[in-house]
Amino acid sequence: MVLWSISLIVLYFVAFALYLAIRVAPQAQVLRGEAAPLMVLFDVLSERTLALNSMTATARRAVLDRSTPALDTLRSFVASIGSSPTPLLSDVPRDLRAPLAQAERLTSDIEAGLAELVAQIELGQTAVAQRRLRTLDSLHAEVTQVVFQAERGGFAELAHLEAQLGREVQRAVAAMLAWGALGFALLLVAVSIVRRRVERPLAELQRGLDAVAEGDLNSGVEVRRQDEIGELAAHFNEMTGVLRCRAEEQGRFAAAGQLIAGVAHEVNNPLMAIAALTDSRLEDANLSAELRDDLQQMRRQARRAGKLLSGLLRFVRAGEPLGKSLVLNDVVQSAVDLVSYRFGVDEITLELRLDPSLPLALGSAGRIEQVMVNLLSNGLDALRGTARPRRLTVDTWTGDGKVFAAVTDSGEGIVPMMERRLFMPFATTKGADGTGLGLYISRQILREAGGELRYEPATRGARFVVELAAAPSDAVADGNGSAPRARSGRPESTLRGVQVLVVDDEPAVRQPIARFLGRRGALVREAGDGQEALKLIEALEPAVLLVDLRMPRMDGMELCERMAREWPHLIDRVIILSGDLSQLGDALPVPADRVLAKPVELREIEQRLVAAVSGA
Amino acid sequence: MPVGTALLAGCLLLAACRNEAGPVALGVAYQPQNLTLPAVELAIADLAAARQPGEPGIVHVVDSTLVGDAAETEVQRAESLVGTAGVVAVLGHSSSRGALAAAPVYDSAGIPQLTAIATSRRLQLAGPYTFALAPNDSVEGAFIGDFVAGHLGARRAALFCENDEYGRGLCSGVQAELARRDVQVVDRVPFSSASDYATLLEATALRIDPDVVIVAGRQMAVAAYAVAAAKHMPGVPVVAGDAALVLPDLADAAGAAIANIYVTSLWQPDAGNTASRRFIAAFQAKTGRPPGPFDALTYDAMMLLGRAIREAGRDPDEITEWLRDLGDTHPAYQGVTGSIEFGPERQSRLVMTRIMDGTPVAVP
Repeated sequence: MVLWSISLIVLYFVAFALYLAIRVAPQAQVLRGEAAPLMVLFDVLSERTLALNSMTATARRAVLDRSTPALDTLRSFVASIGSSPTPLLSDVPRDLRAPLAQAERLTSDIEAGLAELVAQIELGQTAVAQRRLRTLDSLHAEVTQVVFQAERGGFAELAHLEAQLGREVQRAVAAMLAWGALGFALLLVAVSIVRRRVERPLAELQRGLDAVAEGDLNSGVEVRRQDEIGELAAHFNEMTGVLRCRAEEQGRFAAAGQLIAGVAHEVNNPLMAIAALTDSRLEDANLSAELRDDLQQMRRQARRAGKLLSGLLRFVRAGEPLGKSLVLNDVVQSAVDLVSYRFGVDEITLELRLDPSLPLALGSAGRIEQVMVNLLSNGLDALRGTARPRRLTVDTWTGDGKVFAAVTDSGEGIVPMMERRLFMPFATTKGADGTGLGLYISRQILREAGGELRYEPATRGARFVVELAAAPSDAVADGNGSAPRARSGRPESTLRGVQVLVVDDEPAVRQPIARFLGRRGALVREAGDGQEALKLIEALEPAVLLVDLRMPRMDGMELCERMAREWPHLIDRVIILSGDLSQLGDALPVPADRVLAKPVELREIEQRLVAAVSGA
Repeated sequence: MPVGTALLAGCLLLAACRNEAGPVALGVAYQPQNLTLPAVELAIADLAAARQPGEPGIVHVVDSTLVGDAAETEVQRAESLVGTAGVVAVLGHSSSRGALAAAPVYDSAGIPQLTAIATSRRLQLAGPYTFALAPNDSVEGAFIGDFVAGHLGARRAALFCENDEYGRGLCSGVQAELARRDVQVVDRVPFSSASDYATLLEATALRIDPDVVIVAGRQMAVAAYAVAAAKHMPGVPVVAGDAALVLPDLADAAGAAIANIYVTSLWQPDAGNTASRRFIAAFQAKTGRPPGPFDALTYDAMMLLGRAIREAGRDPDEITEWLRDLGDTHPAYQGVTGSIEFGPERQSRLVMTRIMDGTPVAVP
């Protein structure tokens, strides 16, 4: 349509120019064609007439005054006669041909007469020369009259041509005005069309973009036509649809994250209590072997449950700080842990072929873990219901400055028709069970990290390859949320005489810890929340504090803030103990090495407290 | 329109209305008293004799009301002819000046004009409808200059040029050749038909001493100059252009001085040419005198136009096209004066003659 409008305007101007050329140019050409030879002829005749005027006067002087110079001048003139051709009458207007031919003949006769006059003077025939002079005067008068008439006719002809041209110009001007008006109208129509067809849809699109920019992903634009702008609008709608789905997905993740965080805290506290109680009981040297085994089994299961919870939290937590580099094998392992429960249920054999020499890769561990979980889940879905054996293989390797991971299943593979659309939004082979966004989002995540996700048909099943750039050799891997490992070995009475304040709202957690630390020689005081802790701090000023984060009345964060203001020297002796570290985000009140995730072994707590006291 | 022409035109128109294949007319732009008109009549008779069944008859039209050869008269003559119904081509005019003046008329009317004896080189520029049979004045001027310098061995030439298109053109051609041959032009004198030729030549003789006199004019002027030259420049030859070869006028006017005249001829009878022999015999039988170059060229021009009508039809544009392509897409016309065409291959057939016993004889 735009092209059509522009073509219309161009056509208009071309037609306008052609019209002017056709209307005026021929007349101007005629005027020039007829006027030019006429003017040349007049010039020649005028020149010759003027020369004859001059020569007639010269002849008079030569005859009457017997002037020798005049005779010489006349002789030279006579010798030059006929050396230049007379102009053709071909291009002269018809009415002027006869008078001009007559003028030409008379002029020729005068010229010949002048030659004869010269001869008569040279021969001393003065009387004859005088008679000849009179004849020449008579001829001269005649030719002057003829030339005058011819010139008058010529000028009349020129005036006629000029008037004709003037009329044509007037018509052309009138036509120009009419064309101009028509052109203006066409321009208005074109502008209107452009506004309606281009500007309005673009403005709608702009409004849609503004709405999206402000967070309204439900905004859409009407697709009115099938042209470029229509396609643009359709793409915009598709894009907002993708964004909406992604936002919904992320919203669900965020909600799940919050739910899991709450659950984790609530579960981690009992787990911590179980771990603390078992640790505490295991301190008893008089336990029977059977009871000791049971307690150790309880402690392992509690730790396993805690580890699973922390992995879940890391996976679903929105707003996780983006790491810069990662250990791909660890990420793969974490992802496998998250979905491992399905291997047994679906009778799937997992084969991990991880290259132990992998360099660090660029990217955020949490994000890449999300990708791996997605690929593993897809592989598990693809294997479900297929004939046994069902095998899922994860490989990692490195090469060309890149780090790779591949997830290969032994399922039925991807049908060729789907291959082209695999990474497009809403492309799914899972029917109503799939969103069609997993692979699309995974690829976006990898591309944001400078990597790529691609599909490679496998001999049997499907193979998806994750590609990440290798990190520089001096890079440090960001943690994947796992708690620091406890160091082995524990000196007896390592906390002798140390004032320790344990702040936790769960007595089941707080008390076993207090008892354990007391057995290590520490002078332990307990507080159920931040307010109680403040009173004790004011009264006792403990050497080191073990603080839970989520507590009633005053939580751990607020307590730390108050301490930072009122007892700044004590803030360096605070160790955070929490069932949900993810709620800390970037705002850690203490360094990361003084943060412990529940459930944690009591010996780990002991080591951290010792380290904190030593530092103080 | 003159009464005579109008009557004839009316008759032709009636004939044309009666029969599409009725006669076509060839205009003849000669004066009624022109001595070459018998050649025209002879050609018309020969065309009629050679007419095949189904071919249109050809008649000729002469405006008998216009007398004189002034340029304005020639323009009127041309307008009269192109305004005559049935005229598809015109022979003429008899002078370069007249042919040039009339050319725009034929150009506007779209009717071909074929000049038999006009020699102005400017006829080539006159328009697409104008054709010239005779060699132009450049060619003739070069021929005369070559003769003067080579055959006569002249070193100082006096030029007497009739102050019209023919005289000026021929003098320019001669002067160019003389300059090329290192022959000095000691005097160049314009004259008209009213000039006192003897006075002009006497004054020249008084002033300078030429060894040849070249006259670019008609027979009477040439004769007068020859007589004056015999008196004031004894032994100095007079060389003239083709326009002077009008017999017996030239010989009669020159008297004894004819022996001193060399005159250029556009044609000499060719005894070996059957057509030439037949034409000479027929012309002599019709007029009682042998044909001159103008007669032969006029006859050929009429016969050529007749052939053009026979070959191309009665459409003037077709006739013009046929003439233009002569010697190109169709063979050159073989006439009494030799092979005729209008392309670059056109041959000059000029001959320098002396008048012996009233007859032009080629100078060996």
